[in-house]
Amino acid sequence: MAISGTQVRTSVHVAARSYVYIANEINRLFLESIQSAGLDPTAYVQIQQTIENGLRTWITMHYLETAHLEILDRGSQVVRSRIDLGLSYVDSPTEDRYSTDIDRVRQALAGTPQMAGCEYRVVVTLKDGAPAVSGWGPTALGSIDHLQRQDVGKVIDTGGGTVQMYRYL
Amino acid sequence: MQVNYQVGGDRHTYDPGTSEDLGDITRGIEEHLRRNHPELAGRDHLTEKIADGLLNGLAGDGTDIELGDLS
Repeated sequence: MAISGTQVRTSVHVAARSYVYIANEINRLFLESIQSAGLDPTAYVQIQQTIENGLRTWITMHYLETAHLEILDRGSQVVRSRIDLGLSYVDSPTEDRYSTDIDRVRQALAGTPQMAGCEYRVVVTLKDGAPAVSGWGPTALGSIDHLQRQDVGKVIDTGGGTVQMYRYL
Repeated sequence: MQVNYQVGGDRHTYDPGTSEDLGDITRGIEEHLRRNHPELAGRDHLTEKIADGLLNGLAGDGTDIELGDLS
């Protein structure tokens, strides 16, 4: 029983550290993406706590499937670009590892066209039954039929889960 | 692991058991709170507070989870 208890503690600690790391890194990657498009990150930073609260809650309960950063033309509301960060979870994690392939992200974002006149928003795709989080509400993603998808690859790797990045441009 | 919280100025503790799934632990704590403190039933975003407390406690290698005042 004592050994079992130790294993349980280890697993929950690795999971908790992984989820905090993933939430923080999603924020970081979205900020990198905003800045690479020449957009002002101030609006994002102002609601960063709300974004983090949602990410932390839904990741902890494995409800978060994908976090999206949508960049839209301010006038027409046509989607100019979208970053998708798709999550995969590891059951009973034990490997205490946390890394972000920031070089891969920056390489993918290099040459991003400047998107003056655009605005951005964060949208999440959740599994059914996800709890409400303050500051978040229902919405729908804009069409990306006119955009091309680029598979950037695995950009966040932790014992408790991984994140795959896709870019639509 | 022990979960500490306050309701109406009174301090309470709860043992969430041996599950290693943070989602299950979160749901278990929420069920316990709604069952034992009906005054919290209408509180929005209780899950958010529980998940936040769990991550803050466990990510720092602790075993005690502090949820604070839930009133």
